[in-house]
Amino acid sequence: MSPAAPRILWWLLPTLMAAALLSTRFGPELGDFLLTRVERSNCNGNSPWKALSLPKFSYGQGCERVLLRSQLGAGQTLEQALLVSSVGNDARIWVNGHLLRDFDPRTGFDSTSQPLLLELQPGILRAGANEILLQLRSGLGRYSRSALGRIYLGPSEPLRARYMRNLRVGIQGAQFAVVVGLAILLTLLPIAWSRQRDSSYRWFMLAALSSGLYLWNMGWPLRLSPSMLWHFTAHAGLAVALWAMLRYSAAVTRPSPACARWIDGLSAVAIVALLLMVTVDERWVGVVGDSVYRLGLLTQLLFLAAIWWRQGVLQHPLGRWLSAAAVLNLVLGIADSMRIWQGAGSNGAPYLVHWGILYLLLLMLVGQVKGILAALAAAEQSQQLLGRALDQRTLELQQEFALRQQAEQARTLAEERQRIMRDMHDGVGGQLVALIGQAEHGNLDGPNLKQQLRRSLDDLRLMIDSLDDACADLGVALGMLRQRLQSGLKNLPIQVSWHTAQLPDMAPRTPDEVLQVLRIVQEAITNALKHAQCRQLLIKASWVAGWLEISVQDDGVGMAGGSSGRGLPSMRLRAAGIGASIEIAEHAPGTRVLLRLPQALAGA
Amino acid sequence: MVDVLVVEDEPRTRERLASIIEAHPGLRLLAQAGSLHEARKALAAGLPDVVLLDLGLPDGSGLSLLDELRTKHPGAGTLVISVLGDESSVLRAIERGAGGYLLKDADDAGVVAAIDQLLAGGAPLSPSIAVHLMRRLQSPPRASKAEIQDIGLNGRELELLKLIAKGLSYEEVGQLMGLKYNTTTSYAKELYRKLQVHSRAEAVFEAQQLGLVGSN
Repeated sequence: MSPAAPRILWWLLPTLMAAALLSTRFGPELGDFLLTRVERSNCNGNSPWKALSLPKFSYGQGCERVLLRSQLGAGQTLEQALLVSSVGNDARIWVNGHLLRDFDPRTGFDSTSQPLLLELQPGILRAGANEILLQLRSGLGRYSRSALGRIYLGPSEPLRARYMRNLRVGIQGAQFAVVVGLAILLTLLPIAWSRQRDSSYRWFMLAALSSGLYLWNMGWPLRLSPSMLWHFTAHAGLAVALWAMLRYSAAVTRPSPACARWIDGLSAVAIVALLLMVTVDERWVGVVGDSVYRLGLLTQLLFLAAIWWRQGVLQHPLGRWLSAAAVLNLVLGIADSMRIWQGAGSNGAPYLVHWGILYLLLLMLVGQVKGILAALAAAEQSQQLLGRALDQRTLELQQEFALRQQAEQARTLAEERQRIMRDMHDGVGGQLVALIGQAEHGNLDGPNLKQQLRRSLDDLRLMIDSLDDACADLGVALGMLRQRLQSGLKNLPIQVSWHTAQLPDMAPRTPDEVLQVLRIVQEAITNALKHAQCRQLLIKASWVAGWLEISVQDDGVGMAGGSSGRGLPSMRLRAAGIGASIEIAEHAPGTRVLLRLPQALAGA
Repeated sequence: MVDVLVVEDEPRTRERLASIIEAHPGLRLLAQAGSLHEARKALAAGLPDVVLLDLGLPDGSGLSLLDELRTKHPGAGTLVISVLGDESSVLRAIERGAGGYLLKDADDAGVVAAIDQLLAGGAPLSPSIAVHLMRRLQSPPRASKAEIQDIGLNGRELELLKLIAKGLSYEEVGQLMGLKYNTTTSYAKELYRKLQVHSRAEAVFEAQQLGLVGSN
């Protein structure tokens, strides 16, 4: 719906209403032809009108007789039309003793749905006093009692045209109001139904439903003078609709609690007055009840206008429209009431207030639809904003992540490079420098030189192996160490046994940790070979409950063989650096070096 | 007689290797080369049974010679000469068809033993190379041609690789698995072959991805 559409609708409906209602103001004044002198009697007992002889009423149901008298001048007796706007459920009509219309014998025929127009043949009316008698047959009970509508007597042509026009506006307007009202209801009810948890929407739903009841009963099935039950139900619907609209508005604007009490009290007074008027068959109760009821409705509308105006000033222009509609209803209601008090509808024009209620309902619909559209638009906008913010944040995070990853990689790389350089400096580099020094002083014989160089090469290989990611598993690293040392060990008169193959697959370690473990084990082996004078060397590794234990055990002379030169401090230092412990224990015979470090299994 | 070609740019190592071969009655030194160029000339002059090949040569990488040998002289076995025996250089050579590797500091007996192992259809396996072979061959190549369907690891091969990875020697593995020494080492040879097929399939796949060769 484009924004312009509701605004056009707001104006279109009242304009059409005004045009239709204005059209009923043109033409002869119907009031001039209204028969006002009416005498009533029931059908039982003696007729008060002695001059008339009436046939016996034989339908076994309630009956009312109405006598109308009309003074006609001499020139008025020619062609006249008697227009009876409505006569209860059914009626017999005599004019000056001529039976012009009899009861319709078809049971259930609803003669009140259509207006009754009687054309009087010349000669029936006479100059001077004329008597028109209606015998009304009532319906089945108290609330279907017949009510005589307006009766006009006048020249056929202009009277008929004017009357038919009013009738058309009334009937077609009512049809239109019912159709539009139902369409609005069909739109409003799902809105209210979907928000049942919101108490204000329960009032909203009640308002819509009772407005619907009102429109339906007033406009359908097009009774100009509805049977009493229909009529009063419609009025009750109106009172309840206004009450519910007030409570809905109060729930939205949250005025003081006293205000809600006033609304309830006011509505209760109007509805109770209506009930009294309908149920108590006493003339003064009817008059007072009707007045209280109408005043109640008018005050309700006044309240509604005030609340909606306040809401509109505070929030949006729709509130002003709604309050304007309430004021419009107020004015129309007063106009209708004035006309009724002036005497049974002086001009026979349709009721105005029905149209006003429709307008009120339409504005409520516009308000709700606008509210929903605004909420949807706001939701969509916020979703878009959120989406954009999310995209932006994602991008930022990705960039940040990439930057951090780069920085992390660079840092790791730098650390690793530094570590390798330190290792080369301390290991191979230091060894080569020492060799040069020894060579300069001439105390480097062939076998010694070879041994020293092999040590350097072995150390270099340890470093290379520690960088191999296959050796991140310490079991594989130990296997590599074993194979590296194998060629050097096989020519010695020492039996070297390795028991390292039973290790499970273990969680990877860093190259530095691998290198330290390999160096410690290698150092322990070298020490045993150099100093222990052993015949057997046992290298054993096992994993027990989160700990890796590597032992190097010889059967040599033990610590007495000069422990100072065994590089023990450096082994301890290396072990401490990777969170491992070293235990060196004398065995009989020999020494056992035990390296223990926490170690998880692969995949753990 | 086994003809041996030595390709090594460092003169003393080259001469040492040459003298070991000359001293051995079963081996004959076909030629010694100090560069790729000289090696190609030697290959043009005569076909060796065994090539001892250094990878870092002054006029290029020994790997390119491996490619030529594989296509032109598939009968020749190659041992790559390596200072460190590290997985990065050795594995790359095996992928290109090398039959094994020889540590530069190996003693005389070690050199002869390596040549004997190669001629007997065997190959050396270090724990690290065993782990890398396991990793590579357990994940199928990204190409899926029929000819490369049989390069996965069978149960025996996997068992062998796991034992080698823990540092066990061929003898110990043979004992544990109830295999003869030669059978054990020939397992390694077969694993090398699978790695070659695997890496060639990968290379073909990557070339296809780059649009260098057609997919049929």
